[in-house]
Amino acid sequence: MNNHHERDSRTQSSAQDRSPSDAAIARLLDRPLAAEDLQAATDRVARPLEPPQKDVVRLLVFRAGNERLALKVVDITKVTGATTVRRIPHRSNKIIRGLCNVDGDLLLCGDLGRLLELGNKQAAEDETSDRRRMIVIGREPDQWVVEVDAVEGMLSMSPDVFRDPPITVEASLARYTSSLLPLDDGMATLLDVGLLASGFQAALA
Amino acid sequence: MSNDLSGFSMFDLFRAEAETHAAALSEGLLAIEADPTDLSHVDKLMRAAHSLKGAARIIGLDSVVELAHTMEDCFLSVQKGSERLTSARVDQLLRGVDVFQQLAGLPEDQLDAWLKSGDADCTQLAESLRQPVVEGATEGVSDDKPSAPAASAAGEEPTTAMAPPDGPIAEEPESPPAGSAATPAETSMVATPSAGPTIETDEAEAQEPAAEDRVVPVGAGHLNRIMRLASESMVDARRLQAMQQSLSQMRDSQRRFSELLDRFGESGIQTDRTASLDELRGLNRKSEQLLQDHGTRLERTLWRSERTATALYHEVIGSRMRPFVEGTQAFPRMIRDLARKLAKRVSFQVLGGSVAVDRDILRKLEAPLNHLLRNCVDHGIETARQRQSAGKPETGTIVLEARHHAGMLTIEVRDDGGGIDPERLRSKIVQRKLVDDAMAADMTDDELFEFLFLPGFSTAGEVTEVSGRGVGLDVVRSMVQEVSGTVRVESRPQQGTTFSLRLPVTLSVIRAALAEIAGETYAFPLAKLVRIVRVPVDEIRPVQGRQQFTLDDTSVGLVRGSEILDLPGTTTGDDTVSVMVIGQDQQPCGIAVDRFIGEQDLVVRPLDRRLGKVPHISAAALTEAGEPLLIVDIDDMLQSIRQLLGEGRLRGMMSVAEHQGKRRRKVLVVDDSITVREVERQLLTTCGYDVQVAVDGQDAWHALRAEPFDLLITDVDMPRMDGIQLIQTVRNDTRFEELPIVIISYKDREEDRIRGFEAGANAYLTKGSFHDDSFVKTVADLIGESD
Repeated sequence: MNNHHERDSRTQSSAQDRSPSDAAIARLLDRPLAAEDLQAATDRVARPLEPPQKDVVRLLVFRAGNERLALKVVDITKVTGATTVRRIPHRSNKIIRGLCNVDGDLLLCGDLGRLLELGNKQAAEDETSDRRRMIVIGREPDQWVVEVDAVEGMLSMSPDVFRDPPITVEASLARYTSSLLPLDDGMATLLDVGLLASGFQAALA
Repeated sequence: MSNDLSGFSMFDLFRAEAETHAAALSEGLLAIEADPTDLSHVDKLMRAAHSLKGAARIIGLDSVVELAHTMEDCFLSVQKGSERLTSARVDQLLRGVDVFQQLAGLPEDQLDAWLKSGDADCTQLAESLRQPVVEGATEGVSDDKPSAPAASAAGEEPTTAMAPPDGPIAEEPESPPAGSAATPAETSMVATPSAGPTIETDEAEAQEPAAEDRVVPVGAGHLNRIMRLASESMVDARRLQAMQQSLSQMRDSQRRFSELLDRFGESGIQTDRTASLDELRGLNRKSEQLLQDHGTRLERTLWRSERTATALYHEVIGSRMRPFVEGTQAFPRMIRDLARKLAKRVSFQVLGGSVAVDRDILRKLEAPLNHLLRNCVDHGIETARQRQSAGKPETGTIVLEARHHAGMLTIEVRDDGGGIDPERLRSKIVQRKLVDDAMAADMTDDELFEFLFLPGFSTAGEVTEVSGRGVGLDVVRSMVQEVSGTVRVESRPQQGTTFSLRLPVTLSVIRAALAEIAGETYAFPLAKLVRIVRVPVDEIRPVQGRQQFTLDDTSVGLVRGSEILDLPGTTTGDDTVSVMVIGQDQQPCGIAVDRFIGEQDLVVRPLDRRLGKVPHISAAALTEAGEPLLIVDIDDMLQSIRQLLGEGRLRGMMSVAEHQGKRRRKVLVVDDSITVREVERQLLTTCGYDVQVAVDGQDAWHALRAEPFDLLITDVDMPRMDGIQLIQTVRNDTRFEELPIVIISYKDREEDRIRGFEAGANAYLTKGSFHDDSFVKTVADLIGESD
């Protein structure tokens, strides 16, 4: 309170010594408040804050095969550059690729494209692309690593705009789909991490 | 007292003391009992009792003082030779030890409650110690009428559920003479129920804290060295900072050099050029000097920091190690009590107590070892009479031995008892319809012994209190597999049985030879390699349909690595074949690899648990380039090679009746035990069903929603979502209202069944049903036989 008054008086005194423009500014700022202005300002302060954007889900959008896919960020532990995957004898198969090293942890790697039966277009080109990424999904001890062609980015979205997957989505992809996401330039398929983990687990057993 | 803050910390001290002395007392008593003539332990016993007396007096536990005092007196008369310690007396004294142990594990706030019942017990126990023991009565007691402490020691938690110090004393005939008999008897009747709950709360509170908060023992020496090395590495890091400064000096000098060089080119006057040239030369020399200094310092710093990092790493690994004996302390007492209860004579030895064992492995070993040792006493060792008539010493011997062998920790539980009769086992297996007559007749002993590890498979004639409680060798195996180890049985009739647990020394570093098989790198632990050889192709000859070559006059069977590992084969087209020779103690075998890569130290990493025990692979590691590689399980591989070379036909067993054709009925099997899952899967696959598996309720629920099933078979006790929750979840979904559900559980109490049926199960079976056809029949009844 005290500070406020002091500053006010200083402004006034300096306004008198300064140039005309400064004085004009001081006059403007120090003008008496109109009742309606005061009311408007009071209303503004009294208004509850913008309701926080409720239930916004953060999503990671990526490409695999011919599909644009997405996962909830909370379901993802890590995204790293592509690394070598080693087969595991008697365990690796069409869907289970093997072991890979992600920042010193040896994790199981599954083939997302094969699990979802996405079909691999321009595989040869993508194989060498430096946009390929490893995504570590799920939490220990149910973590899986999947390799994707490219990560497009992260975005926030309200689940209200999520759409139910239409029946036309290919069967095996649909099995792991929780919803469809309308993006600015098309659709992405939101995958269910729990279902993916079970899918890989089933392929392992 | 528990409200008094100063008393609080005193009680803590007392507890620590009680624990130490109780352990010493227990050890000394068992030693004296084993050899009553050896009085060298009495001194130690007296000291322990005396110290306990003093400690109890300080915190005012009068009854405990009295008990310790009486025990001390007792030892004194033994030392003087006026009393000989009988087993019955040792029983009493051990009950005293139990009291101290109970106190040692008692939370402060329960001391008052304990005093209410414990006080009287202590007094009573002390009283009974003052009375002479009636010799001879003991045998009858432990045979016909199992006393309470023995029964409780045989219960769920032998190490924590120490026998209550009351009750049995009054029951035993050697209790005080007629005149005073009434008093202790009454006391015990009152004391029994009140002492019980105290112990239960005790256990509930002693639940293991979350993994992160877990407190683990680390040797003080290790900790000091780790601290020293950690600060050393900080110093190293700072030294690198200093080097950055010398680098910037070099940069300055370099900049000045460039400037001069530029000017040198512009300058037209000769003298200037000479002067500049001199300066340039000077700067160049200075730069060279700086560079050299820098290089030397960098080299030294790198060397130092690498040394520190390595030492720190080894110290941290070493700090995980604890002496084996730390995990065995509860066993002598357990075996003694059990042997007495079963009226058997058993001597128990722990060998290799100082062998360093990974702390986590040691902790996990306790339950399996406890089970195996219990088995030895109950099933292995015969009664004294049986042993006598078999011409063996009356006292049976059980040995628990730990040793490091070939980079693995080997733990053996040996007894010199009756052994396992392979023929009885064979008929049991047939009787339970696990395999048919012909197949059983063909099986080797080793193959037969494998069945011992199936859940619920027991050779015991009847279920006793001691064993056959539905927890069996399958638990031992699953623990061992959890750490990527193996367990094997060897048994000779009348000579005894040996269970060998081979466990990895996790996180230890092994030296291995790296080789390429089917385009990928595999590591062969050097400790288990016999030889690495290059064999000219024309020296490899087929003998009776298998490839062989001659090494040191021995013919060595050769198998392609890719074949064993079930990987696509590659042909190198070379005129020599690179061969890893394995099989140290036995007939050697050769594994052909694509090429040798070299040797490397590897930090052994366990494989992901979800993989289960991967055949032929023991663990994983990282190459120097940071790529994953797999470490070959040489023993396992050797066994497979032998089979492949024509010694076994296990493969035949696995692929029974592959049905095809019409749509097969789909069954989802849910169980957290891989063994149970496998048994169910194999039984059902054999019957022509299409089987999928899930590891717990949650996993099953995902699977159910992913594709249609005709039948759900689930266990009850599972992590994440248990069987009952799963069934409730399934039944709440309209899609699955009609899905038949079978529960298969170890639990066979009526209330468990009711709970299952209430949740919505159609049938409830116990795991014993695998052994007759009731499991398969139930499945057929619900969804029809598969065709």
